[in-house]
Amino acid sequence: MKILEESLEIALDTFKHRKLSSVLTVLGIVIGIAAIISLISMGTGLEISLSEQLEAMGSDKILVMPGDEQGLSLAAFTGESLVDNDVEIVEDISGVKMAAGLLFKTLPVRYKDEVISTYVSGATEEAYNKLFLEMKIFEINEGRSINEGESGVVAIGSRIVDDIFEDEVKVGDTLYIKDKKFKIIGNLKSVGNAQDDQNVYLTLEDMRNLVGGKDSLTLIYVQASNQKNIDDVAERIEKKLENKYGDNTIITLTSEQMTEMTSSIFAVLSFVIVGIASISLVVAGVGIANTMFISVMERTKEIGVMKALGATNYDVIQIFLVESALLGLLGGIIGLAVGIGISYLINLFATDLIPVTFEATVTTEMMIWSLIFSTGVGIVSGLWPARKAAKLQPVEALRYE
Amino acid sequence: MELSLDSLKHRKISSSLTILGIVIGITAIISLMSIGEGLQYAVAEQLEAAGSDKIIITSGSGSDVLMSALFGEGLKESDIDMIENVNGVEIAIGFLFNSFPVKYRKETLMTSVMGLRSEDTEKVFSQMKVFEINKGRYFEPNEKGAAVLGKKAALDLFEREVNIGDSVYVKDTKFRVIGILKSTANNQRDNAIFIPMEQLRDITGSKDSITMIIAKASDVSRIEDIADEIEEELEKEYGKGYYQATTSQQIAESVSSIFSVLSFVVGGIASISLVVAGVGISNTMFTAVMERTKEIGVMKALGATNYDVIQIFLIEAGLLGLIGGIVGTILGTIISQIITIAAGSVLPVEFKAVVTIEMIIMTLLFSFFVGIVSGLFPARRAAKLQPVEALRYG
Repeated sequence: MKILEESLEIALDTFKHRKLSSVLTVLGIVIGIAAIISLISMGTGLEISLSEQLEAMGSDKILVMPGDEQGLSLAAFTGESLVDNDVEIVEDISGVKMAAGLLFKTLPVRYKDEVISTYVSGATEEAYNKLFLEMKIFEINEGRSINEGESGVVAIGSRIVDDIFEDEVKVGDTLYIKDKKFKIIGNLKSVGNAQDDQNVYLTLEDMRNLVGGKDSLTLIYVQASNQKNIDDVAERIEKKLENKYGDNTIITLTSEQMTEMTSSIFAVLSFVIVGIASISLVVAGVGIANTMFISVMERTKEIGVMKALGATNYDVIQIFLVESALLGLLGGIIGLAVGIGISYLINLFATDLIPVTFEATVTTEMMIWSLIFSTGVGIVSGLWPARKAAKLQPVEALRYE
Repeated sequence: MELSLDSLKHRKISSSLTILGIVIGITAIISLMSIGEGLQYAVAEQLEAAGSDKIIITSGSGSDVLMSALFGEGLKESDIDMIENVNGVEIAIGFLFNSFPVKYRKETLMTSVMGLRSEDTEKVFSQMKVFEINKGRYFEPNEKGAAVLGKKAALDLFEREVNIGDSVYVKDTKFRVIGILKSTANNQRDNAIFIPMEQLRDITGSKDSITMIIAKASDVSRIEDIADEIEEELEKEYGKGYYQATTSQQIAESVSSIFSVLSFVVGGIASISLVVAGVGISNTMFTAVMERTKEIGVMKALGATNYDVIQIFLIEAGLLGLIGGIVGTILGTIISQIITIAAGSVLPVEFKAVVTIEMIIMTLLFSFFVGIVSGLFPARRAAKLQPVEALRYG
């Protein structure tokens, strides 16, 4: 332990001596760690906000769509193989509390003089009551929901209200979908995902008048009566409908699977970005190695004296490794602080620019890992120079000028 | 210049480690950007295969061409004739997209089903050459119960290959396969099944809406004007902003702009490593200035100006950057070749990582620039040394 303490002292001494060089070396690590921390903090923030959204939907929901085992394909969004009475079939399956079907398409929607293509969804009054009031997948913010047989009225998502069109769209205003006139009777709270918030909801009858179609639906929302065996319920739904339509034609997604899907996408994304940012840490490591070589060279005589006085190779290696590890750790600590500062700034400024709400988050895990990682980089970079120092012959070293 | 090379030789390990930093950074940037560039080429090539004389008409406006091309059904069948009558339009065809479970033997799979008006098939297959028949034939006007399969739909989609004469079922309606297409390099289309639009409407119950109209311009040089005229014509009928006519070139541009943003972000993140490498250069240069304090003193005493001293150190720093840039460019190019070879065996689509001359010139300039900037501060310090003090040093 004594030697470790002494190594620390020697290292700190050296830093004082070659201040500028040490500062620049540490700066390399600082930049690398700060970049990694701020990038991961954004990824983590996005992931957290997404899983919160999914959680808000409730962990007892199942989404039923056309599709095959490859999972979410284009077919899931363009397919319309489900029909009205599938909702009843699904509702009769044990473990299903209720189900609501939706037909959606992209259609041009006009407000005042502006026309925008956006999602338009049709559902029955019963389905709206379930979606808005009971399942609470969507919730009414102002106004009211849509009643059966009530033609020519729509409820709009939160992004339609104040994002999509130049002017704010209010309850009571008029929208035109494909030239047909609709009165806005309600708007919805934001569910946080751009697609759902950008939806215009109308009666299934109006929807079918707009786009044609006999009895087809795009997807069915299901609430399970008990979230414990939700996977079994999902499987039963899939089996039942595939009996009707054929193997590999229906996919079900539970809330949990949706969460897993999004977080696995983010994991891959984070991994790639951090991988690229880590290149800068490798470069910083090379910088540490460089500084250490110079340090070994400068102190050749000193090393000779130490060895002549009985210091072992191991002692010498330790002295230099402690020095390089300290450089790494120091860079890590400062980099961490800078990174946290940047993620704070991101929260202050960037969230206004991006449509999704998120908060860049630095987790304790991230902090610990970045410190371990930066120290590791320091040690690895110091290995070669330290070995070089240890291998010096005392006599040769003493002679060195 | 000679002085710089000399001093680089002297501090071999230190110089090579400094250069290594730049090498790593530039290698990363070159190989990452080559992937982005390659993707851009691949997309452009696909679009070019569709022909540069095509105009795509979809509902919606602004940036959501892609979205409405996939999900929208704002157009009507009668719009096809209207567009065909626009001056400069040679022919126009309409598509209706949908996805359905399709059954072959005992297997049922979801895939894209596209409806074509049977009076349009002649135009689609022989005049516009959007698709080309590989085996068999396309449907004749008013032919019912016949389907043409995309290449992948025939070969890969089902466990067993589908041949001409076989039957497939789209949502319980039977279709006989009468033709198989050549590959179009577009996954969705290759996986699609084409049936007469009238029958697709029978299945979906839709009235007269269509997803997309493709028009062929008679004169490629006037294609932008023709697209504008189509938009005007549709505006007269429906009002402003409902429909959009996009030329194949505009699509290529918007796709490539997405990729350039992507390249830019990835390149930006990778550039952080260059900043770190630059800090390394500064560090090395400071050490060099310190080691050569005496030398600088002698130079100044012999009449070297501040400017001379700055120049010596700046050239040294710039050289460090440039050498790193050259080696990094070479390594990056090699890596991009390896990626191309590896991608060929892993990815289903043809992909080639591309290193352009522009990229090489830019990275070399950039690395030289990083070297110079990193050297500025140390060089100024060297120049400011007082000759007398400097000579006394050491």
